[in-house]
Amino acid sequence: MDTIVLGFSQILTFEYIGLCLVGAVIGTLIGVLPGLGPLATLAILLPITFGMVPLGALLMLAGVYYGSQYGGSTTAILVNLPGESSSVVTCIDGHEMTKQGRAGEALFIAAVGSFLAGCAGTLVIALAAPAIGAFAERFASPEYTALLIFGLIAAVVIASGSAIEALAVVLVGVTLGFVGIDANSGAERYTFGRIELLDGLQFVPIALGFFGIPEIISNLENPERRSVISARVGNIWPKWKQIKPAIPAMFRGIGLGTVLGVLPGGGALLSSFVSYSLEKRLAKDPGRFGKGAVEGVAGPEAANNAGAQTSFIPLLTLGIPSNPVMAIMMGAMILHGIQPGPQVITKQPELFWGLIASMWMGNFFLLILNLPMIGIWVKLLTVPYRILFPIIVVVSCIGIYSVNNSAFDVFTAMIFGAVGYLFFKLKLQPAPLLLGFIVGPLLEVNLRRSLLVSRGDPTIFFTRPISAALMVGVVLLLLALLLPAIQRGREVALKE
Amino acid sequence: MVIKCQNWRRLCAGLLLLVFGLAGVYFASGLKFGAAASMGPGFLPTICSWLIVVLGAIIVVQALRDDVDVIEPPVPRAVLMIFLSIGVFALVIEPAGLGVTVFVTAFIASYAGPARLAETLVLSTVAAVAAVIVFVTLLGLPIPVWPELA
Repeated sequence: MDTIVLGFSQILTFEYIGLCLVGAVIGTLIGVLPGLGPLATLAILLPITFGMVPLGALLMLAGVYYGSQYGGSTTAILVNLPGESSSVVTCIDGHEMTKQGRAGEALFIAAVGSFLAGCAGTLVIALAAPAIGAFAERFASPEYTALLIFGLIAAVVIASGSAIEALAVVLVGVTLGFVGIDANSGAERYTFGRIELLDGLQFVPIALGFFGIPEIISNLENPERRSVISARVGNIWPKWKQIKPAIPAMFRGIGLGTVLGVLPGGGALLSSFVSYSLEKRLAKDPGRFGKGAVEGVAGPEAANNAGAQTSFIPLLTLGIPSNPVMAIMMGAMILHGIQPGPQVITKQPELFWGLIASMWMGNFFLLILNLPMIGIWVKLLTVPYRILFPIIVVVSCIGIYSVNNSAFDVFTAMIFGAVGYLFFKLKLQPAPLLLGFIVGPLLEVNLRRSLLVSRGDPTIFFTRPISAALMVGVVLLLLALLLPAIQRGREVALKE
Repeated sequence: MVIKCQNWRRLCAGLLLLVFGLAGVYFASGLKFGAAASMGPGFLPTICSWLIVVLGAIIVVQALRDDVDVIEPPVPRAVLMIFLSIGVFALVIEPAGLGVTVFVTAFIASYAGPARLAETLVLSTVAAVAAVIVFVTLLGLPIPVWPELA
């Protein structure tokens, strides 16, 4: 309890409240606009936060991520386009409700479900993180090595598309992480004699190269048929009778999202998909789904917000990013001189609890932004993409350049943009690459240290109980990928 | 023997990964390998790159007996103009300052899509002014605004 008070006492200043609001507004904005996701936005905003105090930067960036989950549902419901990838399933029943003149009801349920889920998810972080952090403080390098390998492999299993391709892409990411001076020997690796590469590849050009640039080009290649909204939003304060059937679905969504958000590779996207298929399976009359079923909006919308919130847990307690968005948050922490890991909670409690407190505040702002002020966001949807994308290009370039005031970084982004575009055309998922890139250096340090201690004996990973359990998990996951029966089951599960 | 391949997407993906892996192996070859107990700088890069080579080869082999999958053709104009605008930004930012650079970048980028000249000129000007106000005046980024006169 003291800790929550500590958190609020940190952030109840004009500056922090302002930054939290800015994060929530930007998050809603990019969530509403299709064609600009939270990942690219965070990568663009990252360098701009340089001048801020660390807590201010983190709470704003966090606000952008969970804020985008709110905004995404608005576009999905009104225009049948996912404003943000985790609201794909909301389109199905949400837009159907709009066609029936029930847009207000759908928006209300999405916003309230998101709010309850955001609060519940934050509560879970506040309750679980200190315990997990305390447990993780006993980890030494063998445990960390096993945990990092487990995280990467689990992300591969959950990634969509071919698992073997994802595995190869993770390794490409890890290899990109080797670029620069080797800390142990001082030898230059993959630097091609360029001074700019001695410190390693920069995170922002890679993130924008693989996620920002291909996204812009793909939007231009497939011009959307964005229907102008003719449907009126209608009354956004529905009657109790209309809300009632949505409530159990909301709570199931919250539970599901909270758990799935913590998994490596999980987060908002996975949570919303699983929630939709669960609701469909539980319904007495599954035929209603796809025809405007309230549960089909309430469940996934609650699930994606809960998942977005709890995906902070691995980062804040173990120092391990569970998805690419968290990899960017980790990059932000490192840029501000904070080494993510279990020591953050004990050594910098004001930072940790300040961030938690800001999540409650941010979710409250978002509820206000998304219910009474929905009309503003609806107007924004009429801005055509041909106006938006040149601005996105310019802001991305400035963002990349301003990290080190380096034109070289912009060229790097161009090269990775070209590779990223090839990946996109060949349907190779770039998310594992980003995870590999950020986790790779940590993995190398811990692996080297473990094997130095054990004098090159790899059994060190199997004789210590925690690392042994994780390694068994790795082996099971790899076996699961090889067995054809399970592979087919995975395909079916991902398709749903 | 003629090899028939229907899954071009998978084949190209595998070949791309194969090339990455081989490049990784080649450029790590000059680094000291060491042993597990005391790894040299080349130890993990070499192992990782070989793993990529193996996985890439498996993907290529699988592609040869897979179902049909095609690569959607790119739209040359979108690809070209976007990369051109980013390249121009990188070349121009240091000599020309933020204002001119943003104008030129936004102008070129617009032509990746369905641009109209008058609208594009207005958009680029507004973007240039807004960028200077937001990034230099408000956020205080240390980027020169005007061209260097030298």
